[in-house]
Amino acid sequence: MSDPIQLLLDDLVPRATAGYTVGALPAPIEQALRERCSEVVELPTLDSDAQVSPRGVIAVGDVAPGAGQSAAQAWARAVTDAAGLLETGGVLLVFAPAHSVFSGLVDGFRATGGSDLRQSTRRFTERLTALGLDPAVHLMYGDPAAPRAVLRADIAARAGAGSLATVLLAEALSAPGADDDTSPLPLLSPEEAIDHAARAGALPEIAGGLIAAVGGRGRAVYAVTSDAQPVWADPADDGAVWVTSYGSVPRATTFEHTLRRLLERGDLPGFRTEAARIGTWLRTHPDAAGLDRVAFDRLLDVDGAALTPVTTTATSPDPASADREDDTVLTGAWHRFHSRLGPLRFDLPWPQLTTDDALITSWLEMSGVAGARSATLPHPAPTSVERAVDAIDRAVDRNALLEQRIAALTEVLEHRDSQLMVREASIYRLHTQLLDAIEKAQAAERDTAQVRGRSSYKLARRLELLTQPKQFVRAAGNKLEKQVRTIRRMR
Amino acid sequence: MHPHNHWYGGGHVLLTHALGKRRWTVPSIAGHLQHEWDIAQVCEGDRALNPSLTAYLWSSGSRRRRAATGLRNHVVIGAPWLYLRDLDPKLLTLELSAADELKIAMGGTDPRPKAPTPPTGDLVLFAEHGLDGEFAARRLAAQVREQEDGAVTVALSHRDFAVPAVRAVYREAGFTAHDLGPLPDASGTPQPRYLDRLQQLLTGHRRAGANAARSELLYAADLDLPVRVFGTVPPALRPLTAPADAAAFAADELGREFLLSPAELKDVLEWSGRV
Repeated sequence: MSDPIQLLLDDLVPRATAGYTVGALPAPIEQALRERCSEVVELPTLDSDAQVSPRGVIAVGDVAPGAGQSAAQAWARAVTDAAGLLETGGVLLVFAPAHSVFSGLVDGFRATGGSDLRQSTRRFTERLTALGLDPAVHLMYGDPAAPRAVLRADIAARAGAGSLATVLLAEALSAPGADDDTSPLPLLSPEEAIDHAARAGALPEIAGGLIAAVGGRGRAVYAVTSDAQPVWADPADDGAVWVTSYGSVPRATTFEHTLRRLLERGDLPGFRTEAARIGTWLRTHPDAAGLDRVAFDRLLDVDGAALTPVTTTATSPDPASADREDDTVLTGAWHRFHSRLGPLRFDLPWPQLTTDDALITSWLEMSGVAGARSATLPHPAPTSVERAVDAIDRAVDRNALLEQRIAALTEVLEHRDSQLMVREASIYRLHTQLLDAIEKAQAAERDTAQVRGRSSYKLARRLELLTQPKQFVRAAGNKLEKQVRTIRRMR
Repeated sequence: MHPHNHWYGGGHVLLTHALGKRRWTVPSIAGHLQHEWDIAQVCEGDRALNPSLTAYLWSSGSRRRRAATGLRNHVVIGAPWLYLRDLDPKLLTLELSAADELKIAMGGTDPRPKAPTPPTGDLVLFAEHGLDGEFAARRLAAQVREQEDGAVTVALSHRDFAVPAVRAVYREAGFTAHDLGPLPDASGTPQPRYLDRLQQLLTGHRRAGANAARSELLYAADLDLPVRVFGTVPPALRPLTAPADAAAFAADELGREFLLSPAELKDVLEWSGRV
């Protein structure tokens, strides 16, 4: 199987050239050189007194320092001597482990070589330039013993998040088998690490190894895809397109990158527009017809106008299958997008306690999926340990938020309880006043009845009539009339 | 959950938009609803929110300014004013029975209690007096009288209107003093809320003015009313006073492009499943 190093050496080293290796080289590099060259002679050091003839390829690795020499001095000396020994038109290759802690976080590779030989891309280039060389530096990613991708330093420095170089690099590092020999759980998923590094313009700083080539011409990107296929890519047409091993690809960033940027800006209207666009594209565009799975991180957004799937094979997609359901494809795509949000999930323009299902449902509706709200969403199993850890993280965060929500609700209930206590006190006071008033009214009624039952009250009422002549006359008249009627009836 | 959510009638407008029918009691909102233009008045209500609660903001500008202070947990939903503008006004009044509707159609009177009709005129002035009270009112009245000839309605806060001396200043200047009414909603009743009353007041005038940055100026610009600022114009208000820019500026600050559909609004306000 071809690996990125082999592809690089195929481009750099003419076949059947004779060469030397100086110092210790990583095994895959040495093996690739032996396969490529007609003869390779191992030289422990380049002693200027030794009688060696010039050759077409010289590869310098980790050189053991001589007496009274530092490792750096020995290395510089070896490189200078190798350059002097090169045939005209030959290729000088210089290898060095990179000084990268970040890479160790991702894939946990074990460092090789002396620590004082580890260097940054910038320092490595400067040291070679200081020796009068004009190298093209290629960066190896992944375990230096079995690199998964090689990027030219200038391309790595310029590759932004979501660019083709970043996509290929992320795919190579997260491909099955990429971390077979590493047992520790990565602290960052490769995609996440590469995304962060690309945003910071620090892709050169996370390389695991460095290859400087003086002479020959290498391409910009070499990588191994998830289906173990080697691919290469080179910018062309003044950077407008990428020429790759499987065809031409427009220079653009991924659709996922577009969506993430909109979410970071809190641009919900823009996000809504893009969600509608992907829905329309999937239902109507010929490029989408044969896809039974869509990943936004593998879809290039060309100037906000067209969407182009990033395929790493030369084969065209199958014709549309009759049983493909656009809604299912979209659901899967949004699930994948959601699972790749990473730290961005803490700053989404939706409330933090919105459930994953509610979010995906909302996005599906924006993509024009009718009835998404009532449908039961599938829950795909995590595709990797990193994704599973991410899902657990999300659950833990959600749990913490729910605890805080409970605290907030408890506080609200306390306020309401205190308000109810105020109300209760008021009601109790009013109730007491009412009972008191009722009791007083009843006592007054009793007193009145008692007073009215006494003969003195009746006498007083009669006497009172004397003070009101009209009433007295009326009462006397009534009484008289009553007596007269009684007498008449008796007759 | 926050008491501010029951001010200005914003929560009620959102509820009516989300449900599409009449309902007079606003359910709890798990967070803080922006109720004032954050340039005019920074509300402390959303500064100390529990992390599980959300600050519901009007626009991307509000979001940017809040994020710049290091705060998170915010969601932009657009200003309740814009939802009010798009709302069927019938949903904010008591429902009529078929018989009553027939009676009204036949020329009968509307049996519903009538809300007081706001005054109309040329300019509605939103006056702020600060601690100077009556004295600031006197200065403002003189300034406005000098520059304005038409009928001026001075919209006073409920508190200012309660001060007879302040009312007297404007009446003496020949203006109509109008009470903007209490900010808190009359919850559970169909009584017009602050925003509804404000809309009626603004639509009865041809221009709007203020002597300070006020949300009402944004609302006026959104209604395409020319806006005038008395005194020094703060830089933030300059786009509002330029007729060509005012409507677009108001739409931006009110978050017109962030308005949500009823279903989305229910989701975002955590009302789905319980309202």
